[in-house]
Amino acid sequence: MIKLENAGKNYDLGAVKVAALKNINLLIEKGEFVSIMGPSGSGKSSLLHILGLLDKPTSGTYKLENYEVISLSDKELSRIRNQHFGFVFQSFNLFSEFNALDNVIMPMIYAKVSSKERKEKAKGLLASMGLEHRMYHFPNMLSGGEQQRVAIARSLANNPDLILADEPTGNLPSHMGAKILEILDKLNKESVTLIMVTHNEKIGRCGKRMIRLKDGEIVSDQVIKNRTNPLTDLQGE
Amino acid sequence: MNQRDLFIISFRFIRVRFLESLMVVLGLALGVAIISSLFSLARAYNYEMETQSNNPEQREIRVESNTGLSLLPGNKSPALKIVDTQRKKVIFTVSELVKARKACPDVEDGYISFGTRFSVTDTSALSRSEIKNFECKMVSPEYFTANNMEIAVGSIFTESDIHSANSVIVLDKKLATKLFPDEDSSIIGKNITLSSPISGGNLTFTVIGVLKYKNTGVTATDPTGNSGTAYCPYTLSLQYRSQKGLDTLSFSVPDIKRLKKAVYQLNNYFSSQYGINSILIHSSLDWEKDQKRVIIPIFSIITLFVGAGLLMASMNILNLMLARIARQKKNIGIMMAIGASRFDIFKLFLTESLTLGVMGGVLGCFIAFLLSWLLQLLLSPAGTGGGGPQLDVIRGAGPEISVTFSIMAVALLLTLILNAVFGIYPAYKASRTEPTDALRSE
Ligand SMILES: Nc1ncnc2c1ncn2[C@@H]1O[C@H](COP(=O)(O)OP(=O)(O)OP(=O)(O)O)[C@@H](O)[C@H]1O
Ligand SMILES: [Mg+2]
Repeated sequence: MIKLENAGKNYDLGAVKVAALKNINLLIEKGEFVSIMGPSGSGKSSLLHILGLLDKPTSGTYKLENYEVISLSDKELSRIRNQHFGFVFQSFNLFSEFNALDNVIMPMIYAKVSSKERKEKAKGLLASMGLEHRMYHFPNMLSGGEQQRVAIARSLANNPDLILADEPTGNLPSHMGAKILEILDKLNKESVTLIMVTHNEKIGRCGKRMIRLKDGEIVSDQVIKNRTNPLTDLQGE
Repeated sequence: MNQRDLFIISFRFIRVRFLESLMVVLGLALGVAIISSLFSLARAYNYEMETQSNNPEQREIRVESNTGLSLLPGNKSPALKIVDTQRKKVIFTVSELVKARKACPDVEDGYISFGTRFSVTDTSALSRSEIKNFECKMVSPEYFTANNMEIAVGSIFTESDIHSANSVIVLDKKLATKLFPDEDSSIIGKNITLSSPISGGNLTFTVIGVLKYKNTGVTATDPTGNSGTAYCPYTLSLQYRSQKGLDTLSFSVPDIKRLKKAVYQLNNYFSSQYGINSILIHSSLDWEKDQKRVIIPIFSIITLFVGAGLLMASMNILNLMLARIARQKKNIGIMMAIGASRFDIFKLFLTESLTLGVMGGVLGCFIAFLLSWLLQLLLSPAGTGGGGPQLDVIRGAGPEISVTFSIMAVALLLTLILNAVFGIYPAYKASRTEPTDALRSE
């Protein structure tokens, strides 16, 4: 359970103060699929980073399960990110120095999984993404869609409860985007909570709930009635 | 993340940024090599000083009358010499020697020694010899014990030889074989006629003993050492000089470490006997002081330059490490997103720089060995040429420049400390990276 109350984020740039987020009240339950939409600069990434424990709100409170996030140590925060969260980014953010397999292995190294076990797990995850033939490829040898599937495999390495995706399809042609959403939707059906930032209305409608941001404020928060089906509605676009 | 994974990952980053890593490693390696070489050079010099001072000559202290005319080094005197005609020349007696010895506990043995040079006149007896003249020391019997000289055949002179100023002579092994190439024990009792530069007259000596061969290692300080030395009773010299007493007394210390104390004691004793400034005390301390006056500034300058060079290299490494972190910013953000704590990031970058440090250190030791070998080659005695016979004296006493393990350990430790300091700051900076900023950066 995620609960933001009156959360705000200010960037202090000396002379000017940028209010990236203002007065955010938000409750996200387990198993939800939340799409966050809004114009550029509206604070979507800022919100996602706060939710993902990569940043802290400068005002208000953030409650994660029973924890008050503000009181957690860096070590505890990193443990939660490692054990319970998975991140997927627009620009994939793979380690260019490592091949696909080692990229997927990385979170398990921080989780202190034995080397044999983590290798098996990583291979299985890559295979489930249809990448069994790309395990030893380095990111620069992979297509955008393949890279994003490696990134998703990596985010799943420690069986997360929550996946935070910042424009996961932003850098992909639509047919590849469809594939990514198909995977994410499937994960959500397996009870993984999903929070996805997107620009694309149609992709946003793949979620179950839509939050719209404008100038750092939530302007609407609705249940999506006619959801997009990534299998059928996104093809051939 | 366990240690093994930490090492594997940091090693992977090192390998990926090979050129950059190579530069860091080379910089550190040069640092280690230069420090090690400097240390070994200093050590070689120190070793030289020590072996030099282990010679009997270096352990000698000479006490002589201050005539106000001395121009010996170490006696700091104005360029214009004012001769103090009022000053009485001190003439020592043999009993003086005995008393001084008792008064100064650090003086092992006092002896009397004058050097003179004899020319060989009676060539008929020495048909095979090629020696024209040689060093002869006119000594008291204590001289032999003070200098650890042992007799091989025959005997040294006795008190009665001294007393009646008998013309007996003891040869060292070297001189004996040069004067009498064909004989050994039968030398004893042979007569040699020599002419003295002091009296000009001829004197026939009877050989009474030959000393055991002893490599004293004396080199440049003994210009006459190449043909060997003879020894005869000092009373002969008094006869030649027609003096009542002695103008020089010689002492020696059993251990060079006691030289300073002994000089101090002797100075006290003779000052109280004859008054301050009436006597001069000479020892290898004067020589050492001179040597150090020259060598210490040279070493200081070298150290200064090396230090400056090392500092520059260190700044460069610091710069490289910081640039490395700037370029790794995105990766740091990703690592934090997938579960790295700030301390994990710190450990990773510190491991990386320490790995580079160890590699640099090991390579540096290797270079240090090469450098010291090169220095040894450049400074080896073979290059000095010199006179033929001198070579075998010099051999084995040349500067020995080698990088010992203790030097290497010190240099390695120093570099590692330096590296740790320059590794900790960038690693700390890396750990302070804001993941949100890092993830936004491209
Ligand atoms: N480190 C920062 N310092 C100052 N201002 C910042 C910083 N990071 C973000 N901002 C500002 O906060 C606001 C929200 O940024 P954010 O990245 O959350 O927007 P976004 O909705 O994700 O936009 P986009 O769709 O372009 O990714 C922007 O006005 C941005 O300029
Ligand atoms: Mg954004």
